[in-house]
Amino acid sequence: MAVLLVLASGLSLAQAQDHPEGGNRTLDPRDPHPFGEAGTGYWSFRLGYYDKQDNGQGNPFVDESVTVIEPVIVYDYQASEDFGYNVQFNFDHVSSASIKRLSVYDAQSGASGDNYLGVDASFRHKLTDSTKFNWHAGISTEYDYTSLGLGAGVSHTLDPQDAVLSANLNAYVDSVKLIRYNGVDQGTDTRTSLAGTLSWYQVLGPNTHGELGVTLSAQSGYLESPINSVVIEDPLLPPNPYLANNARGTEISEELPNSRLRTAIYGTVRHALDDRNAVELGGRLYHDDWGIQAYDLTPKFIHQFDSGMLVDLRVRYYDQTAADAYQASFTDPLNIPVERTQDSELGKFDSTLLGTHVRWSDDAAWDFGLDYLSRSDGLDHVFFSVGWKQSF
Amino acid sequence: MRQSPWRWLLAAALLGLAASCNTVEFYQKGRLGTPVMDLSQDPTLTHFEQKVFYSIEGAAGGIGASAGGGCGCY
Repeated sequence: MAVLLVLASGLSLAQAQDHPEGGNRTLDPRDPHPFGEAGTGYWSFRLGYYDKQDNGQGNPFVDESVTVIEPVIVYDYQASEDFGYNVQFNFDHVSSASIKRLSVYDAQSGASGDNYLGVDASFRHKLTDSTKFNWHAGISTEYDYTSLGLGAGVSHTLDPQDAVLSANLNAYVDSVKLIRYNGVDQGTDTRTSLAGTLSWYQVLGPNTHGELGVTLSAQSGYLESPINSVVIEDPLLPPNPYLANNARGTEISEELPNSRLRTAIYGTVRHALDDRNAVELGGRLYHDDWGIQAYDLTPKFIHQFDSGMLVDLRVRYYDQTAADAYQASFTDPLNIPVERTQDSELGKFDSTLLGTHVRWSDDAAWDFGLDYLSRSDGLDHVFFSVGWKQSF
Repeated sequence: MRQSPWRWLLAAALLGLAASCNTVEFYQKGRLGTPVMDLSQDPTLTHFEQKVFYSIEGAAGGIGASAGGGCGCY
């Protein structure tokens, strides 16, 4: 709760001061696909990597380590003054202990990883000088997952008020192949996700601007992870060789509600200290009907060197409560909850992230980001990405 | 007992509205256009960060416009 109060205090700190340089700027600073001149565009490429380390903490029964390598290619073209499009190709290679574990079962022998392939095309239309409309469609596939995505958004600039109001709606219709923790294929099921976002960008003063937004999402259908299991511990059983710690217990499937309502309220305020230095405070409040409440707070410092290189340093603190269905251990075989999970991502934890992001330009624009995330349950993460962008 | 986040959203919105009552003149906005004040983020970086955070935390939303779905990792 303190997060939004701090952000609101930041909003109210805006002070009117003249800036000698003056100048004009487009009032849509969060627009990921801004309008350019007709006939211009860019190619961009990003290589992302993240690694989750399992040092024996978190869920003791499974090895939760994951490594993901993700290249992304984007082509963006401004076909006319009022119309542009953007095509994004994504590929992920996921190497995880939980997938490799399936290979011990005959039904999934040879399983070692997951490859994700996705393409998304977005189209932007300038309806008037102050109103823009965009829509997108995408498809992605994995060995156990197929998804169709559609979305649209509109933004409207309020010039006298120095504000931009935006609304977006995104929907995904997914098909999940039910390959269970023991390799058994139980057919397919569906998952539908609908998310609506309202955001409000506001110039707060010559040196300060920010954004406040809310995202409401509703999911229904099969919301479990098919390969997740819970372990019913029983000291009378022999050690189970399929469990990471050879615990004495029996695995059964994870079961979660078939609907989920989620609310995220987020905000960012950035304040210029001078032409080369700025500070930012971002935060988010989150609530869902599975029992998870979370917040994060991200202060950031941004500096531009004489060479033009931009460097930002950020710290992000995140805290969440556990889902109602989460238990670290299940010990009573006669009283197994209908809804149950031991997924560490649904447990109680907090995390602290330290990260830096560097951007520079020569003939092309480059950026490099590196983050280390330390979690209270021992499941630390490191992730980095390098990006390249060539405009034409 | 947890309080509803809606009252905090309303409080923040009202404070933001109050703060925005002072119109900033056209000639005063130059510094908002400097690189250190650029709030936009490369869409590929947004996509990457969304995928990382949504897959390792119970919360989703607030990074990009979607909040789950579209990937088996969420």
